[in-house]
Amino acid sequence: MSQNSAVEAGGRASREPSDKTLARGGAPILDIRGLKRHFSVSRGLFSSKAQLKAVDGVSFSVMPQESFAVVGESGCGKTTLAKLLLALDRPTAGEVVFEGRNIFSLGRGALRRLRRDMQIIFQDPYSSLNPRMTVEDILMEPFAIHGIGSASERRERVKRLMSACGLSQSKISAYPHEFSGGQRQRIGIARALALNPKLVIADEPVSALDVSIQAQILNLLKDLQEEMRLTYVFISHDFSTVRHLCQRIAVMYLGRVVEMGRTEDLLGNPQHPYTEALLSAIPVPDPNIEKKRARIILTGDVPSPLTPPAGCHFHPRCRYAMDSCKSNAPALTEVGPGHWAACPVLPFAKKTSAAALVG
Amino acid sequence: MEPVLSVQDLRVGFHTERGFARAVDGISYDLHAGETLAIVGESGSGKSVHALSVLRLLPEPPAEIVSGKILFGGQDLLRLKPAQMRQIRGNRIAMIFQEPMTSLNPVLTIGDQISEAVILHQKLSYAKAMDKAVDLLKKVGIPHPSERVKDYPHQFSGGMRQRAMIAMALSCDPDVLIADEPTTALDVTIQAQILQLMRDIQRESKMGIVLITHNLGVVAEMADEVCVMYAGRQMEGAGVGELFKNPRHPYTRGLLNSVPSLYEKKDRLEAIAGQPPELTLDLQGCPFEPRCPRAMPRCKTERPARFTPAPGHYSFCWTEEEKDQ
Repeated sequence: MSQNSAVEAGGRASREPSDKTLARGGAPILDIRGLKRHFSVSRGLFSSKAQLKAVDGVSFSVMPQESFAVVGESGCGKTTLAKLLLALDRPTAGEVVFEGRNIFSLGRGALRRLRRDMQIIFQDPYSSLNPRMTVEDILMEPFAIHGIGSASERRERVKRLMSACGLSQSKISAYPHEFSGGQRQRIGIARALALNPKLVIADEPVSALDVSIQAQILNLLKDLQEEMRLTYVFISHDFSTVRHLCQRIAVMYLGRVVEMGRTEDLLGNPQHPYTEALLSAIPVPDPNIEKKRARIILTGDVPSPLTPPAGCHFHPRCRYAMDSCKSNAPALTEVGPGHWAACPVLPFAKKTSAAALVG
Repeated sequence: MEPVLSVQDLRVGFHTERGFARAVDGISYDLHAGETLAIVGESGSGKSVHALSVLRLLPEPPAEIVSGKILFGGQDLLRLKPAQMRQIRGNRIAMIFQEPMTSLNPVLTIGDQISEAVILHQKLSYAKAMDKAVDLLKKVGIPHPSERVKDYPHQFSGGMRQRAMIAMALSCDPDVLIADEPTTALDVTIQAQILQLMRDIQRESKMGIVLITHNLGVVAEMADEVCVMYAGRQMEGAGVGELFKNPRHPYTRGLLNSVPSLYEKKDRLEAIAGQPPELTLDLQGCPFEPRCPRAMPRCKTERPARFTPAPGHYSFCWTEEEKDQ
């Protein structure tokens, strides 16, 4: 694909990644093309407005029944991306194509019908459930909004949902405060699944929960995916959770995707210095590994998204950075089958060190 | 070697509408100089309440320290008068908290907050204390410390605020640092920086650290000794290598198995079914019994006794103790 068409697609990261996955067979359920969301932020009464590029040219596609993860630290734009995927926010440029239709070109009615197929699970099971509604009210609401079934049919479906999500039916008239965090998250999941959606966006679904409860919820999400043939987009900061659930991962840094690939490839052989550092920073629950491994400690904080560094956004913290990184923003290029990285330096460095070993 | 801090059979509870909640129900440990003891547990395990009791920061009532001893420098902290306790808190024993935004005063500069403890405990003049604050900020890795000392907390990022908290805690060279989930609110790359900083400072100052966390990865990275808590009780404790290699309590094993691994693909996580008990219940037996895959009738009725599967390793579990006999 020529440079020009990449620009037309509206993204610095060109359309190539999605085209490649298309080539592997089947149509993607979700195709994100050159998605951008810029906010104007006023910096004070007399200064000009600044552009905050929360999402800055993101492209990827998700296949039916796949679990795709978007991983990044605070401020990388992952939650803005989640909102765009559900048309809860409108992009500055780019498209989100769900089952062949750009969701931003749909009218209100069509969008509402589409929302039956696209649902979200929120991070915080405490603030995302209405404290004045019983579990039954919460789970009935989606059916009422979309006018599905009679009252008795709805009640029947709610009961089935509750047992599918591991909630005791004796608690159908209880309020959210009567449940523990893990059970509340089950209510949130049941609500998201009420209308048999095809795509579920899960925004940090387990990060507010204790580890033993996390495992329960992760297993539940996995079981439900098989039973209901769901497609998941996981938004997360935690590689270990994502490793357990997702087939492919995209890593975001300051609004851009810096690396994307199959889970094993990306974790086993990271090709972007940021992914490498991020993986190295995660403490592993094994003191033997912890004692032996050398850790890459990044210096400094993530720069403000209002004033991202020129060129590659990561270059001030990057240990491989070269002069060219300060001015040229590298595009995502394929470094292995289905494995894309926006770094011209690290993959090369890895190849030469491997060659040196062989030679 | 004499422990620098020794907690003996500490019991703390809260008077609530639903009865007396046993938040900490009999925990004991020794912390030695230069050593990090990790206290691991999930929400409601009593790990934070225990830390607040050591510093006598719990409002009494509704809290009540029922029994136990907290030995520090030859005296029992539970018997000290408030004025004597103030001599120790922030001076000999310092604490850092999980949320650096809410634990810093938003209307005072970072320098004012760091120098406060130095002025109070070391009787330095304001100017000298400010110099010390600059030194401390430099030590914890804040760039341009002499300018940043005049900043307010909102001008610092999350990681920098936690560094400022650490600077404040270190201001009087404490013997013991209690760190309550110091990196939980931070991104992993910043967490790695802060943990590294704590290790470096400890190597230099030989202070003892009580690290309260729910993250087993942080435990593996930082701890020398580990104590596992559940529902207010101590379940198991050992050196970090021994605990991860040879856990001798079903709860510890459950916890280790339920963590998704970065390096191996597990098809299913071994979740622990159910959830922790209400703390207001007066449990006769083991609090983990309802969720324990190996519970015996005795576990419900009799409180497990401490047994020692290996030197320096203790556990409170009837089924495990039986295995050894």
